[in-house]
Amino acid sequence: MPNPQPILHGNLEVLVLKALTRGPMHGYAITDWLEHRANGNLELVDSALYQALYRLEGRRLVKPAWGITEKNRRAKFYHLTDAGRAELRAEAARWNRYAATIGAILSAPANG
Amino acid sequence: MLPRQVRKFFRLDRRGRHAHAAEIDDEIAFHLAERIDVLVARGWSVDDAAAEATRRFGDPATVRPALFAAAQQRDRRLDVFEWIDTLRTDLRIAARQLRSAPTFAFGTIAAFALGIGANATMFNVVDRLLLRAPAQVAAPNEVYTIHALPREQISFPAFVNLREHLSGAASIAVQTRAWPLPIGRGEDAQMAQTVFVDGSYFRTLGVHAAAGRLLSDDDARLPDGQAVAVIGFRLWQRQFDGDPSVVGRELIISSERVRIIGVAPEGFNGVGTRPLDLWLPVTRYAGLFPGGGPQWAWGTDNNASWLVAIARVAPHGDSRQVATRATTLLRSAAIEHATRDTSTSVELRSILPSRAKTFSPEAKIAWLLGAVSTLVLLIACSNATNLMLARAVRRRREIGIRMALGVSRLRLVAGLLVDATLLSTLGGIAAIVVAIAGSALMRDVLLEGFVWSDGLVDGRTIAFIACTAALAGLVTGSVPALVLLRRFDLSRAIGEGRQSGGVHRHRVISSLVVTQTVLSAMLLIGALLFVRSLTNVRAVSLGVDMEHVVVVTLDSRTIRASASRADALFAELQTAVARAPGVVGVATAEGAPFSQWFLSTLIGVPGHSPDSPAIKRGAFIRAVTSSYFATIGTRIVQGRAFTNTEDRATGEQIVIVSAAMAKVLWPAGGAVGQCVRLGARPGVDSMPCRRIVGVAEETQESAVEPNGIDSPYAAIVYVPLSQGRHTIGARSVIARIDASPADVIGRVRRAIQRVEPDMPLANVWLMQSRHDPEVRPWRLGATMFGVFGILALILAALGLYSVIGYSVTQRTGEMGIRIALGAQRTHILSLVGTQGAVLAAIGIVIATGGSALLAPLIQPLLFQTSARSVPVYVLVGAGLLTVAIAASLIPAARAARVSPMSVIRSD
Repeated sequence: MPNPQPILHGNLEVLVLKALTRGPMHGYAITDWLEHRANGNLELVDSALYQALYRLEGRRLVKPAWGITEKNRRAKFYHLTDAGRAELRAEAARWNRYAATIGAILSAPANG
Repeated sequence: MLPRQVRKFFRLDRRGRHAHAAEIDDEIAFHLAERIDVLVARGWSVDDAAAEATRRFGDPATVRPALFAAAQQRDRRLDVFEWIDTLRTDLRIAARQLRSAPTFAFGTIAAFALGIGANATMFNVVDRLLLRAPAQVAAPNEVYTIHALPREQISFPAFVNLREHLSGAASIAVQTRAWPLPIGRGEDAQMAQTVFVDGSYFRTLGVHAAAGRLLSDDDARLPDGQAVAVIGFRLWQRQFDGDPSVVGRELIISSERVRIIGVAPEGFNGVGTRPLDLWLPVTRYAGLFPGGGPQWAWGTDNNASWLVAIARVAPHGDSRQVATRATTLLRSAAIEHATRDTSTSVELRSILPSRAKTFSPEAKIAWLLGAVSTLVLLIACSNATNLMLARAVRRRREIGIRMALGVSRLRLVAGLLVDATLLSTLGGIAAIVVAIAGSALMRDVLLEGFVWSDGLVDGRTIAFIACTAALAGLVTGSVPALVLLRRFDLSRAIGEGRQSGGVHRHRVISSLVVTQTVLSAMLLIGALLFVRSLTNVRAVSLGVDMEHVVVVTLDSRTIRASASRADALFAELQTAVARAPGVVGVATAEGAPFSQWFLSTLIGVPGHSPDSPAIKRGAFIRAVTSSYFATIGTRIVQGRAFTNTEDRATGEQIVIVSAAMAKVLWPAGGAVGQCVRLGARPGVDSMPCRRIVGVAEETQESAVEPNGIDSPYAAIVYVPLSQGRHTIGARSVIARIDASPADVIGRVRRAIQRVEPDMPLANVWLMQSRHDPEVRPWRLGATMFGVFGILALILAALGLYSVIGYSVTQRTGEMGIRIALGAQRTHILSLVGTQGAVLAAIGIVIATGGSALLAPLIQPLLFQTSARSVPVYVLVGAGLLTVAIAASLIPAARAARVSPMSVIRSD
């Protein structure tokens, strides 16, 4: 198994936005989902997630509300705003374009 | 918990403060607890799970502060968002309120537009007149005009003297004053404002050509210089469409062929404010200057003061030192050449208008109008304040409820300020239109002949409008806010309900109405004082029918060229002019009034000692054809006018004298039949004595400073043209017209052109135009005070109307009860009507006192009118009172129609 890769600064936000498309989630649920999806390939410091959430909140891309979890714990649930949804669409498109471009270059034949 | 939208509508605070630290800690605790749960479920021990959860969260010592910082940054950003949201909400509410009260909105916006627009216009004028340095001059703070007092201007040798001996301390250049010269010939000819300058003029002012090059030392070399000219940007655009190939072309200037070498930069007008079109080297064309001539030895003439000297003092140099040295230089030169300037003293005056010691009359008027327009803005502001206050009082209950819901006073004040600022901003936008119209009016009325090169309203004026609008909004909004929130009794406000809390109890509103009345009364008093001055100055008889007399003068070159056949030429011209439609009478005269020609003569009168003052002061000759008096409108008060047959050089020598002259020489009367000797030089007693056949009424060239009976200018001797001195240069054709001057002037010009197709442009002007500059201050004052005064009156009436109207609405219940109790409707009418009249009366009394107090300030600007004129005060007072009563009667009538039943039911 390869070593987990650190998440580059700024990339965490788009992942959080993506996580929240599934519905309002609290911080731990987001971490859990991200770890699950990354299959252990991404190295995530939990506190970084909260910094990312505060940044997103400051840009009005997510909105928090206190609620109760199924285990009856008081937790802050974040949900996507319309602006957050639009931001995710734009960022995802940018990422895909970027990855496709880099991928195409890297997969070019050596004598091409 | 109130629903979010409700809290938002009432602008309640939506987020608690100081809860952040606890919130973050809660969130961290939750996260760790969840993680521990999961790990424990996977079989970890609780302690290990806790350690692992903390490890994965990050080192608490660094993580917590970082999260706090992130949270703080988030809150700052959210605050900004929230602030914008609040503003948008406030604006939406304000806009909704405006839509629901369109009359109120329109009235207030119009008041702001007029008030701010008037101020912007005056700012624009003052800015152009007083604040700006002459355009295109490099480092204008170093440039001064030299005034060799008492005669101001200097001779050419004096210029050379100063230039040589002051070098090092200052560089010196000269120009003449501007003079119109004809460019071109025939139909296409036009007048160009020309100055004659030396070769260092453009270099001294640091000006760069827009095309070609400017005059150099070589062009103005002594003794005669080059036949070249620099044309002004305005002329270049107007006549040559800005074509750069104009450089090198030839112009016919006053019959001389002159090559254009370049174009002055846009807006450049030397060191003055009036537009210039043409710059010629003085060394070649001094002869074209009025009073000059081909024989004039201007280069060595120590006595002629005809050059305006300009000095550029070295940076950090002392202009006073330069002035002192120049004084010494000019005085010693005067002693050396035995001229009269031995006691001259030189003064250097900065060309910066802001450093000028004395203001032009236009500038003084502009200041005055600036003050007046500030008054108008104050009225507009107080009007808007008034309306907002009345509305705020009506909204007491709503405001009370909002305060009960916990809306902070700050938020309420902000709301009121947003209301007011929205109004003033809309007013400011409309004010741009007002300022454009006002500036156009100013340019044509006040600043006729001044430079106004760029657009009507520029960036500086727009910036001024923006600042004024913002200020007006703040002032207007804060008054109701202060009044409303100070001593605001919450329970009373809610308990009172809508019906009471009457406006009539509000001293602030009443005092604002009084203030408005005071201001408009004072403006109207000012307007009437100026109108009286204007009528008085117009009523002064100048002895000439100014409105119906057109004068034709010819270019001095043309006259000199045709000197041999001058009589024939003028006879032809007179005939041609007489045939022009609209002309009902013609005459020819030398030294006509307002022609700037004074043909002085020595006189001798039998029975009077040559040493008596009346004889020593001499007289001025006007040589005229027989139709002159009827044409120009000067009455013969004794005896008779000349007849056609008497106008012969060989006939009997006869004269007509002015009334003042007759009165001084023959105080007992009986001038007719006496005789006068006329002569140019001593020995006049050997001249033939000319018989006096009539006495003509006094003519004046100034209504403000008329010649006293003892003035030399009051002693006029009229002689038949053929018995005059044949001073051809002073000769003009005079026409009496009975149609629109503009039309007739055009027709006369064409008639002259047909007689002499090659002649440069003839100067044709209405007598009145020469008197206009003198009358202008009063006309301007009357117009502007009148416009502003009526504006103020409308605003005050509007204010009164709305305040009484609100008051009536507030007191509907009271009125209903009064009527139910048997009050007569006429009684209600007078009850409400009196309220307005009393307010107006208080205002009028204060205004009368204030005007009487300020009278000394305005007195110097009036003409034969007392600034404490009782009829004016009474007229304004009565007028205002009438308007006030009329403005209150409309709502009063509404009050009288109140149905008692509906009022009692609604309560």
